[in-house]
Amino acid sequence: MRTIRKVMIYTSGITIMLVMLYITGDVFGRYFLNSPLPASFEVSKMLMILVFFWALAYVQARQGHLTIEFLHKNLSPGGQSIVNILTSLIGACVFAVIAWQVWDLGVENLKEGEYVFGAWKIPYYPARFACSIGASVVFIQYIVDLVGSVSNTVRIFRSKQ
Amino acid sequence: MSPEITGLVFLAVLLALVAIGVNIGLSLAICGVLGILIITGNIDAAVGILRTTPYETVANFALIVIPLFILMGEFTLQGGIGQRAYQALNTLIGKLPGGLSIATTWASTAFGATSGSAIACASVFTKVSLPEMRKAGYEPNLACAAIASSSPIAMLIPPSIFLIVYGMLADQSIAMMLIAGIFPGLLMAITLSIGIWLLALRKPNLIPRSNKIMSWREKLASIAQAWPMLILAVIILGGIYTGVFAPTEASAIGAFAALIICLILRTLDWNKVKNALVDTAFSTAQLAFVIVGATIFARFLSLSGITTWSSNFIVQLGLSPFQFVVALVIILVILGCFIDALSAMFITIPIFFPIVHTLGIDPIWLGICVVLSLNLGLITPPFALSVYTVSSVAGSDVTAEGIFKSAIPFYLFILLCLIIIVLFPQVSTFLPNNMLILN
Repeated sequence: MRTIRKVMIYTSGITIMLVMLYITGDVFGRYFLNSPLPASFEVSKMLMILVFFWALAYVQARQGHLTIEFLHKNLSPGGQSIVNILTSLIGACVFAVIAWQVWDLGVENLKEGEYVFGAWKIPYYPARFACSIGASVVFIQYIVDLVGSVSNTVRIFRSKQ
Repeated sequence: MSPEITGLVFLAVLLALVAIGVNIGLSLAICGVLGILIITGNIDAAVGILRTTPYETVANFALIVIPLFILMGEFTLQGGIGQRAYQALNTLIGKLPGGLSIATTWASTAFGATSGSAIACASVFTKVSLPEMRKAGYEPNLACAAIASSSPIAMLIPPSIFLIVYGMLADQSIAMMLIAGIFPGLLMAITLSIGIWLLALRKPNLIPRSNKIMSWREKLASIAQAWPMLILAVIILGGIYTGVFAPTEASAIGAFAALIICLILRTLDWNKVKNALVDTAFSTAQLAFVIVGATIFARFLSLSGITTWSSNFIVQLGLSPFQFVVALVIILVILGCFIDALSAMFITIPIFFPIVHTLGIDPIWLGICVVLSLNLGLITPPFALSVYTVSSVAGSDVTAEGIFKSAIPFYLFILLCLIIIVLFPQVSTFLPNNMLILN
């Protein structure tokens, strides 16, 4: 899981770099060579999917999501781990649905051969599948967290008895 | 249950989830999805929102500015570009009463033009300018207070992540939002500089005048060091204002230029590039996740009709648009003390923005008021992130309590600045309304 997360976050970071180079190239091409790069708009939009969905599992594993902590910190350890269970449950459900639905949409796009209209014919499905793969890994991460939180809660309540 | 009641119930559930510490993006998303499920009674509608909204929200050309501006900020940070700007400003105005602090304020302003992070700003200038101020005999707590109070300026000067996020949530032109931050940011730098100067005149024992002597040659060399900052500022501000670049293009070219500058200065190695990329991907995912949640929740709110209902309520209360803004600013200043500005924006904007629309309030002016009000929390107890950053970097002779005490006069000057911005919308709207090319 660690390796997958690492590979994914590096892919995400490198993709940001690619987007930067692509858009810069497009602007230079437009102003100096009078020939902008084709489809920079569409390509960058699709690369953003990779940037976001592939970085998410890493953020999740590092507990990096924006959270309001001041009440959470004052909860008892038992209370905190129950909140963590709740978070993982909601997260697992939400990302399971996203992964399933977007995959489904990708399959539909693939079958019907749908493309983005523009200078280049870019099919929709690779970005859909990339999104779904990213969401699946986030789902797995939430399940891993769930198992961790449940065993943590059990330990806390056992030690109280 | 009527849709409005469902709206209120899920608003309460959202606040409860967020309060107990479920992350904000997830809380927004689940409340939005469940709310839509209950209102429509249709599971396909609820599932459908997850089929399209997360993908469409992220595959958005405007969203690209966020990672690219963050990347530019990371490169400038790694490249020590902020430090060079401070040295140059120090040479120019260091000899004024309070000059070293005033130089810090303006260096923060310049730093803001390459990075939107107040925390990075506070930490960089504590490392760079605090030693200089210590040498000159400044009282350390007071010196730190000036650094912490200057850091929110970076949140107003473009590229400000806060203004971009506001623009996305409130559906405003990102270019106009960014440009709108320039005058308020400068105003804040000016008010703070006046504050520091007055304090230095009244209490010269705490802020002695610097008597460092430099030859002309040294002076010129030091001022010339500021070139990377100038180039980046011209690309970003000039490019967007004149319409030569769209904000997304400005962000890509800014990041590229920052990378090239770092390579020229030889301040970047492979490890630093790797860290910059990972940190950028991290911050982007962190932000975009909440944007996705807020978008889902906003769909639900408008479906529930609670936004129309609350707008009517405000209109019936007989609040004038101005009174509404004043009330909102007061609420946000208080809220900003307890939760960080981004989180507060994600939760409150979907709720209040439709009202703003009904009342006919200028959304750009309001955006500046919102961002500044919430960012006051950076220097107010109990969660003053800037103050804690400064005190943790500064060393043992400085305490957070000491900084809070010394920061009170600066805080009053920033409040004054907020009042001016609320009273005179032109400060915020003049530049965006007069951009050379309106996108």
